[in-house]
Amino acid sequence: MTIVLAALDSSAAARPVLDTAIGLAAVTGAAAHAVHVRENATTTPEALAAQRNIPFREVSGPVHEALLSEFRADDVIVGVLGARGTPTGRRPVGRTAMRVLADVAKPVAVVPPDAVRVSTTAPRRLLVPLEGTAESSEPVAQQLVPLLVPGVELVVVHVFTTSTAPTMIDHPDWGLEAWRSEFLARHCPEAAVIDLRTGSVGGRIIEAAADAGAQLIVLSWSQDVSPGRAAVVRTILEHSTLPVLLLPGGHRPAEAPVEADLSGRRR
Amino acid sequence: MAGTSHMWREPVPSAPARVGRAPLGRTFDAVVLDLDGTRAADRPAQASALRSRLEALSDAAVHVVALSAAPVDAIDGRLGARPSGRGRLLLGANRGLEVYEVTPTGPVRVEPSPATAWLARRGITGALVLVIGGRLGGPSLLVPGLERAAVVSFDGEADDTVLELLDEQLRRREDRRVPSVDEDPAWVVPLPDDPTRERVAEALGALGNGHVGLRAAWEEGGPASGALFAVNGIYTTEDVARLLEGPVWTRLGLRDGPRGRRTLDLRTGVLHRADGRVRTLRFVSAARPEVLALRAEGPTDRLEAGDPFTATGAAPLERARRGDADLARTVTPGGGGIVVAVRDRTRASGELRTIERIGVWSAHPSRPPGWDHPAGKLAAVEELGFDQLLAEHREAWAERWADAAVSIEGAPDDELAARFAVFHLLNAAPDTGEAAVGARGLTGHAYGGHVFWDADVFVLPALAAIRPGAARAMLEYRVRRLPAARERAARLGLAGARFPWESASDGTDVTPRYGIGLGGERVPIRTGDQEEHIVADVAWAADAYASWTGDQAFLAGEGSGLLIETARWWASRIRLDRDGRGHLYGVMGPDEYHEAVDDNAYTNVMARWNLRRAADLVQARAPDDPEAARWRDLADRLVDGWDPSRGLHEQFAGYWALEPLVAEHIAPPPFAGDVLLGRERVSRSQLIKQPDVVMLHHLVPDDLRPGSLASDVAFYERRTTHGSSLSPAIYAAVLARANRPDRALQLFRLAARLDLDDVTGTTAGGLHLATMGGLWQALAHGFCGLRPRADHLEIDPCLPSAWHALSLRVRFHGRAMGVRAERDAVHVDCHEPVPVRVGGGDVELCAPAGRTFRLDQARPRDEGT
Repeated sequence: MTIVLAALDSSAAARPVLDTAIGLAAVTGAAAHAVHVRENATTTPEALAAQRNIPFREVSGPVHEALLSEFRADDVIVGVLGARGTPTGRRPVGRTAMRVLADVAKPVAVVPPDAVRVSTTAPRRLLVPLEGTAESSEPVAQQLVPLLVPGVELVVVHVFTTSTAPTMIDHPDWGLEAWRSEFLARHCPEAAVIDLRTGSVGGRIIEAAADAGAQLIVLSWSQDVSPGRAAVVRTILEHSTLPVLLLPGGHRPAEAPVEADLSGRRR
Repeated sequence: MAGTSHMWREPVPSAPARVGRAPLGRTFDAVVLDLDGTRAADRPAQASALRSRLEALSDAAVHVVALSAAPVDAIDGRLGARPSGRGRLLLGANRGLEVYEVTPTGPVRVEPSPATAWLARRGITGALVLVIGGRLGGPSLLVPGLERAAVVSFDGEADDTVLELLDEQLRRREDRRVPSVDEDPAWVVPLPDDPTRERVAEALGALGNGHVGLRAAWEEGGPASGALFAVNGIYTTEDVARLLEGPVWTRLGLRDGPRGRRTLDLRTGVLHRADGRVRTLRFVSAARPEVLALRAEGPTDRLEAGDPFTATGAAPLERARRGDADLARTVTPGGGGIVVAVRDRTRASGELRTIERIGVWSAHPSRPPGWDHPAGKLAAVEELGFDQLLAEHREAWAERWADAAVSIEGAPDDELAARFAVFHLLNAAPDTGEAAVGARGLTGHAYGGHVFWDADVFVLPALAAIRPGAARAMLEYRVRRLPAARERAARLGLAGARFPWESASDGTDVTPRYGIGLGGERVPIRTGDQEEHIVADVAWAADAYASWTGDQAFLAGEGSGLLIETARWWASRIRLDRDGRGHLYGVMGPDEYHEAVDDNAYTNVMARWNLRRAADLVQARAPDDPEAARWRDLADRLVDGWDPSRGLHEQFAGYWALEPLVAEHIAPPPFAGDVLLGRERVSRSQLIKQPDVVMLHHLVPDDLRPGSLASDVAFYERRTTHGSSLSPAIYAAVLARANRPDRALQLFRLAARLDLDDVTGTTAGGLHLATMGGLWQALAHGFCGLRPRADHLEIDPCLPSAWHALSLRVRFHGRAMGVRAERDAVHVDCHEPVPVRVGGGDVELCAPAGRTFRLDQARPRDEGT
């Protein structure tokens, strides 16, 4: 059995985190589970899980190490966590969440507390921004596509920049049609639609997601959170009101050792 | 080129001379044999054994050249061979200086000499030749053109060795082994093997013969494949007509693939695949346009024939059988279809399986083609056999290249790219009937096979010079659609013929009205309504054809409507202002960044040219014709954008007032300005997509102000984003004429690599034929300075510093000729006298076999008068 594991805290992000996990479980054919790292005595995450009839565990220890250990379990295929505790919380994501994202070599969905279009049903339309590089498209092909159940629509978006804009478009219809067709065939043949935009990459992706009515944004990234890196990911995590599924790809930092006490109980 | 002296020199073996008796393991199409190294002269038994092999090789379509120091009678007396097959027996007597073909009645002297030239005229070069000799190092075998030949030399008497080598070739023919390819780096294009570029590879390696096109998809298919088999002029009947996808007939059952190396041989028009143990070779016949062929060999545990057909498009594949022939057909509802009939001959010998597939296609534009015709034709074609069909095909390609050869000394990459372009131009149109040449030809789905001005102004001028029959077929397409063009003009309340911007099957306008732009925005497409210049472009193409071919009878007869009816359109379209000046309002020029402009210089000057040219035609037979007089009057009144205060042509009324952006300030060209800046912004700027005023200097230089070339080019080049694949080659042509050949070469190379490097990201959808036509024009009109006149050919070269020489072969007024341009001389070769004017000098007659003209490098450049 494969698992989509929701990391619940006591913040406003917990409910949308849990619901996102349930939806991702439905779209990947996995089971949704929840975990909470107890820092103080509260029962909100457990109660949430109980409401959704989701297996729940509580573990102790430093949050980062504990979550790493949980997410790295062999049967976990996707992790889900909150971007921040409150809608006005730390941007783009909380420090703990960012550390976890940088260190887990698995897909992790980041959910803002004010997430929209989140329900417990399987998301049917996913927005997949692609750069047109192997680093961008291979994680989608290798980590996302194999997990999806039939009927999920992928909408690719590509944002042209000065360096990536096509050199020549002979015809406003035929030319772009040919460009779109080859881009999809090369980078995401499972997608039926590609949306082309120009301008600020992060902003255009968020706009495209809204225009497409997508329920989830899927991003490949290098997991490099050093200053000046992952600018697009940061922008989207900061401003998106949709859950963002991050797929690690390209150069990955070495996994940090897990030191937490993994004792806990399962509901 | 004919008349070029040849040097006797050692052939460089492509493999070490054989040691031992192991088979060579390759199939050759010609054997060059040193007779004097055998005992056939002395011993009848040896002569008899050799004779039987030579005659069997002839039956197997293998040519043999037997060389000897002896005179021909002695050689023939020795051998006594009388071959009756497709393969010829040549006797190279007197150390190869005299070449004779052995006919049923005996040896007959043949040209050309040496024998390798004879073979080359049949498409047999280099690695297709096996040289067997006992005295290599002497002059008898030492001829040019054998640099990649396989050479077997032996000491002393080695008749058994010779016979074994010949027997191996006979066995390989009997086993239907895959033929070899002469992998001359100057003529072969390796296809990309990156799976993400599979569709690009398929387009690059597309085969064609003017009637059909076949992309280079792997025989086993695969998820990345965009296989296509299409027929010229066969479209679907959807709302937006597209090329109908025919049955792809190359499918094989191959395991553990796709993998291996695919190469396109430009010289012989075949696609070759090899991955160590599996080899295939395919072609669409240039000699018999309805014939298709494929051979494959491989281990029995990897290769089997399987179902030969693949459906690739929306049209379902209908199937049938006639005896043991497999047939498949695609049809479009209420319209035409394409049918292919194939038969496989499979043979297994030990662990090796060979498959030979011969096919015949048939198509009809307006009704489903029947099954019986191709099935019947298939039986007749099969009797010829694969080897003979391949031999004919190679010979047909050799004939094509004889009229279209390109050579660039000092720049092998440029030369190969130029040959690549010419290859696909030669595949674009048939020599007979009518030819609908779409923007991507038959090499891909993009643009639906729609015919744009790309055909008339970019492709046709090249074919008029190198394959006149194909150019004529392209004009026939337009002639047959004159009625539709007249109807459209009438519906618009105007006279004459209004050719459509995009055309497909019936000549009506098939330009899409809307496209999906950035952000999914529905974008109106106005080219169909506003790019009226195509009316003059069609007329210009007809005149260009006549200029190269001398076929004035076409212009005066069947083609006259292309000039006269188009002139009538302009005459009814021009509006006179109060001052009596003529205007064309609300048009779009080649620069599509600016829509609905007034007095676009390109449109106006081409219209003016059209009116005057039609008046010439009419007044040649009726000097007082009043309509022609009116045309001349309107032409004189039409404004052309010339601004004397600036010494420039203004691209359209109000252009000077636009934001004075230059391209390099936005991004290094090429770039799609409408994508980077947005349509609105770019339309308010002076940035242009492609040559517009500059296009006039290319097409009708005599109709512009003398001396305006350099200033117009300098001004507009900086404002050109080259956001169209049609742009760089034309600039290369014009810059060369403006005496800036090194800058011209930069843009030539951008155009030359456009598809090979997939510069636009759209080559997967098909090759850019207009770019290829533009490339040839850059070579011919730009760097070589060719311009056909009524009674002579202008030659005024301007070579870039990286090129030592440029050689082109063309047909001028029906006469085959070659031009070799060097920095200080021009060599012209011809078989019939041709009047030429070289370097701005006097018109002189170039007599056979040729002449050299010295060039004064300090001569003033002729800017187009």
